[in-house]
Amino acid sequence: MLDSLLLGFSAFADPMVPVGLVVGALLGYLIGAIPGLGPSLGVALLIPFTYSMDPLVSIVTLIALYAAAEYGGAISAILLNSPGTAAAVATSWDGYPLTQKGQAGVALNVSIVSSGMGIFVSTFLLFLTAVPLSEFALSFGPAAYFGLALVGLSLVSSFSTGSPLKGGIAMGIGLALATVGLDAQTGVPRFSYSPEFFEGLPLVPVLLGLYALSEVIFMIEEGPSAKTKSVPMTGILAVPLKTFVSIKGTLLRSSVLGYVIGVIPGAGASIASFVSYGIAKRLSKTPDQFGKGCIEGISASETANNAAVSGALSPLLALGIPGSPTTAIMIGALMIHGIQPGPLLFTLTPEVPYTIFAALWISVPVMIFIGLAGARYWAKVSDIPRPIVAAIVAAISLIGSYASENSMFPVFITLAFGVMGYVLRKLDIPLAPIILALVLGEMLETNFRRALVISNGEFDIFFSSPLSLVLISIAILSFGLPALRSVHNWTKRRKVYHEEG
Amino acid sequence: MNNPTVNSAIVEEYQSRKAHLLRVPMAWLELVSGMVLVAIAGFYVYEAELLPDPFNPRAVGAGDFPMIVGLATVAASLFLTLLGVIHLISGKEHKHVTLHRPLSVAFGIAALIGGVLLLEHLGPLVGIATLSLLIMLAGGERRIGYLVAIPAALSGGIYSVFVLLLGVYFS
Repeated sequence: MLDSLLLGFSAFADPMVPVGLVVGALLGYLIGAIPGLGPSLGVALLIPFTYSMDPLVSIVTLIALYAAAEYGGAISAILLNSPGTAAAVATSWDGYPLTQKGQAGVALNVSIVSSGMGIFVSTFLLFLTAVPLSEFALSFGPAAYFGLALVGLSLVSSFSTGSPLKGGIAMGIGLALATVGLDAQTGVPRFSYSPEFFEGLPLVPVLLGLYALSEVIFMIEEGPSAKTKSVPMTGILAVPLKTFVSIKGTLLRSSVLGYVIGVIPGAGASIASFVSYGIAKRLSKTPDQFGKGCIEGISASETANNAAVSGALSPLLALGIPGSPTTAIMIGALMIHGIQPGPLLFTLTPEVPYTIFAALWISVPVMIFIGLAGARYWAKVSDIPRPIVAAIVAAISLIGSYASENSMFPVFITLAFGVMGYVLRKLDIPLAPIILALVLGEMLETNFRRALVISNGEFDIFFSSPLSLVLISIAILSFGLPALRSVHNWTKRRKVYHEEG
Repeated sequence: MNNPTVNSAIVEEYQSRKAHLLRVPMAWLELVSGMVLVAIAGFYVYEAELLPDPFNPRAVGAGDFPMIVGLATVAASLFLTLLGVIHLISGKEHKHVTLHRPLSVAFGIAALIGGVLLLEHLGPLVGIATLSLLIMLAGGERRIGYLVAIPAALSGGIYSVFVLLLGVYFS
C-alpha cells in the first residue's frame, strides 16, 4: 500500500500535475466565493477544459477544484453573511457575528485552517478504508451490486431537498434517461429517435445543462442585485497556535464525522456541517456562545464540510457509486479519460486513486496558503455583477458542450436540459437524484438482469444472500421512512387544522 | 449597518422586484406538472411495451426494466397530481412559486435558444460575443462599457482556450 502511495506522490514529478493542482485550487476558490455557484457547477464547467489533458493532470485539477470550492464557500459566508455553498451556511452563523465584531480575519483564518485539517484527517481515513472496501466489493455478485446501486439512489432521493415524492420522481426521470440508447445486452435501440442517441445521452452536456445553464436562467431571474459592501479585514495572520490547540477535539471529531457522513450517498457536505455544528454545540463548555461568533462553531462546520469531500470520494473510488452530485459529475470526467471507478480501479490503474490521495494531502498547505494570502481578493469575487457571471457560465457551458464531440448535438442537449433543470428546480424537484440515476442507471439495470438470468427469472436471488438482503432492506427503508414521516406530518397538520376550526 | 445609501438601495431593489413578480400557487403547478409527467411517462411505458421480448421467456428483455421505471414514475406522478388536487380543494393557504422578472427570463431563454441556433453560422467569436451580450442584457446589465468590453473579452478568451489551445474546430 505504501509503494502505491509513493506511486501517487511520484505523479507530482510531472510539472503539469502540481500546476493543475494550483490552477484547480485557484478556480475552486473563485467558484466557491461566488454565492450560488458550488463545487458541482465548478467541476461540470471545468470538464470541457480537461478533454485533451493527461488523465492524471485533469483528475488532480478537478479534485483540487472540488476541495477548494468547499473552502471558498466560507469566505462570503463569513464576510457577507451570504454563503457561497450550502455547506457553508452553518459557518455564517458564527463567522458573520465575528466579522461584525471586527474579527473577520480571525474567522477566515480559523475557517481556512480547519478546512485544511478536515481534508488532511479525512484523506487519511479514505486511504485506510478505500482499499479494504474495494477488496470487499470484489466479492459482490449482481444481486448485491443491484442492491448497492439501489441504496445509493434511495438515500440520495430521500436526503434531497423537497418531498420524498419529488425525489422519487426525479429518480424516475434519471433512470428513464439512462435507458436511452442501444440496449447493452441485446443491441436493440431504445427511445432513440435519431442515430445520435444510440450511444445514450452524453453525460457531460446533460450535467452542463442541468447544473450550469439552469443556474444561468436563475441568475437572469435574480437580476443585478444591490451591491453589498464587504467589511475591512484585519488580523488574518494574527491567530495564535494555542487557539487551534484549544479546539483540537472539535477538529478531530468533526473530521471523522464529516468523513463518515460524506461516505453516505446523498448526505454530503451540508448535512455534515450541520450535524457537526450541532454536536460541537452540545458538547461545548460554552454552548451559549454559539451563534454569537464562536470559533469552535466555525471550526466544526468547516472541518466537517471539507472532510465530507474525502468521504464522498470513498464510495466513488472503491465501489463506483457516487456519493454526491459532484462525485457523480466526477465519474463523467473519469469516464472521458477511459477510467472506470470501482473495485478494479485499485488493481488495474492504482496510480489514479493514489494520485488522488496524494493530491488531497498536497492540496492542504497549497489551499491554506492561497486562502490566507488571497482572502481579501476572494472576498471581492462575490462583488462581480451577476449578469457577467451568467454570461461567463453560459458561454463556457455551451462551448464546452460543443467541444465534447465537436458537433452541435451536445449543445442542443445542454440547452434542453438547462431549461428542464430550471423548470424542475422551480417545482422543487431536486436535480441530484436525476444525475445519480443517470450515472447509476446502467449499472442498476445490468445487474438486475444478470441476477435474474442467474436465478432463471426467480426474484428470490435478491433476498437469498445476507448482503443483498441487507442492502435492499436499507433501500426500502430509506424510500419508505421519509414517505411515512411525510404522511404522519400531514395527518398531524390536518388534525391541528381541524381542531382549530 | 444603518448606512442610508445602502438601505435606500435595498428598498429600491425590493420595490422593483415586487413590481416584476409572478406568483403561482405550488398546488396548481403540482397539478399541471403531475399531468404532464403522467403523459410523458405514459408515452415512455407505451414505447417500452413496443420493444422486442427476449428469446428466453425467463430472461429480462430490453423493455422490462424501462417498463418498471415507467410504471413507477407514472404512479408517482399520479400521486403528485392527486396531492395538487387535494391541496387545491382543501382551501388552505398554499405555498407559492415566485417568478421574478418573467419577461427577462423569457428573453434570456430566447437568447440562449437563438444563440445556440446561430452559433455554427456566426462562428465562435461572434457567436459567443452575441450570446453573452444578450445574456447580460437579459440579466439587467445596462452599463455600456460592460456590455461592450465583457462580451469581447469573453469571446476572445474562450476562442483562445478552446480553439487555439484545445484544438476545438467549428465546421
